[in-house]
Amino acid sequence: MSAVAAFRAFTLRRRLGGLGLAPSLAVALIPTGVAALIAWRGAGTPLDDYLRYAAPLCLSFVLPFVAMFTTLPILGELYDKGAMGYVYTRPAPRWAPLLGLFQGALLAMLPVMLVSALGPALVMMTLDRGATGFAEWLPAVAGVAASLAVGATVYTGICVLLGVWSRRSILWALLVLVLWGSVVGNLPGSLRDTSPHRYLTALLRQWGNIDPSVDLIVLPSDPEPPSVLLSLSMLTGITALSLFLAWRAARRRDIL
Amino acid sequence: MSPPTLRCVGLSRWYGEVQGLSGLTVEVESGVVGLLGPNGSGKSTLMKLLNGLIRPSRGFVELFGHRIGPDSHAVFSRIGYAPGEDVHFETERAIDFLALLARLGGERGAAARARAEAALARVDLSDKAQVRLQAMSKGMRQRVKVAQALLFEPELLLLDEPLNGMDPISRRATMRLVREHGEGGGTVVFASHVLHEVEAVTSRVILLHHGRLLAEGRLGEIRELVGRRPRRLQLRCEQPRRIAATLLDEDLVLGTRFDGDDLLDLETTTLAPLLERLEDFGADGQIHSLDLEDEGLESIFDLLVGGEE
Repeated sequence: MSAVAAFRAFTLRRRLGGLGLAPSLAVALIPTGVAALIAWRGAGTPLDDYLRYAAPLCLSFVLPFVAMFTTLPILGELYDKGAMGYVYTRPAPRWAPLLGLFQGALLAMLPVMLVSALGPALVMMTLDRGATGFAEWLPAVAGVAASLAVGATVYTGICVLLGVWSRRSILWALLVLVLWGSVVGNLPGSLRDTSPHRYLTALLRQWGNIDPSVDLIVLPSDPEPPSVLLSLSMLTGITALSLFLAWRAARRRDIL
Repeated sequence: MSPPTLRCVGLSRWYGEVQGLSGLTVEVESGVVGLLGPNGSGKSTLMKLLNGLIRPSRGFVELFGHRIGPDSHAVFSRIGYAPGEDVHFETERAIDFLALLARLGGERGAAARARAEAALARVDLSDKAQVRLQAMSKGMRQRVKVAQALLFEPELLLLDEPLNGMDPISRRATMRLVREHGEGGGTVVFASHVLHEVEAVTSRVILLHHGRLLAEGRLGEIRELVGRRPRRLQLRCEQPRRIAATLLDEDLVLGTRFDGDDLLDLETTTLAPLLERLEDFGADGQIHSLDLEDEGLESIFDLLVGGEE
């Protein structure tokens, strides 16, 4: 649909042009710095350290903040300045620009998350001096990158909802993505089953081939993780629900 | 019988405790109608209600016989809207901004671009197509706003203060464009707080004040309405106290005020008989000059608004 493609292209132009990606890239490079520090101290094997420290940081810290930095400013500008008036008076359903914005923000976010996953791997591989074969690194890094890509999809959907629904979307995003995500998702008990973070962690462990009984930095062990199928189903459902609710909110929110 | 282009019935909108628009009932047929009112009178609120951008607290809007809501896509394809707010897509080039909106309207790649180019040409901005909006003057951005409203050659144009910040040549061109749209069978709602701008494009007006309908009709009718209200004159004359006493005796004035030895201010609701009587004094050489309060539209509007307060 032309309207979706148009808004996808607009969002990409907005994010990739100028300094649009600078805050996201700054956050995305933090695991690389941490990796360099850990590799320098030489606590364990580089691949183990990558999976134990860098990958969880990408998932728990980089992912929510990059999703916020990529999605919320565009929606904030469009709504707060009344610019959505130009968009919503076109003969296109309101879900069309929102879907385009979701796609554009996701496409802008994916390379940033790739930098986040690849950066520490490259640092550690360099310091590893070939002790661990590339054949072992590749599936681990690919697994981490894949789980981050799924996480980017879910968190972008949630951010679109929050950006349309609330004028204080940054605050809500901190609550939802960080508190409900990274904090509640790590709590023992059944409450964590409500958090997308639980399912993302399960994907990270299974696709990155990380033992679920091992504690990772900021990710406690999870001896009985949900299956890949259940995790993907839950995360797809959360994304679809977020976009549906975003459309509902867009129909109700006044453009002042 | 075909429905009116635009119909508002009991249309009200509150922003919390603040009243944006109150019980507006009005119909607009084809042609140009001026929507007049000072800042905060409810013009922009009405414009947004007409577009479904905000929801009414009470009442409803019909455009082309259809009730308006956020899902009125079929009706939106017949409307062009230039909001009062600035363009805000600052980093976009003019051509990209218009092409984006054309694509949101359903056009694809090259066709959207062609439509955008045509719209820019209509507001004489073809040579600025590649300029980013943030690098344009306010007047140019206003013309871009008008261009995007014209993208799909709409039947109904809603223009919210379109002349703000425009230079005189652009203003004239935009006013001509508005008149031509109305003369060509289209409908234009032209919102402004400046009466002479409206007078230049139409004789039909809707006057809003504090969110309420103050007056509606042709400017001539409104002038007539004003004619029943007190008017002020100032005379420079000899013996102002004697003239004032005579006019009061003959019930030709409501009130008088003296200013110095030779100035006399008069207030009247019977202007024509008063002027006839003053001619008698003038013939005697007793009146040196007579100033009638400005009869321009601004004073008419001030008078109407003043009468409401």
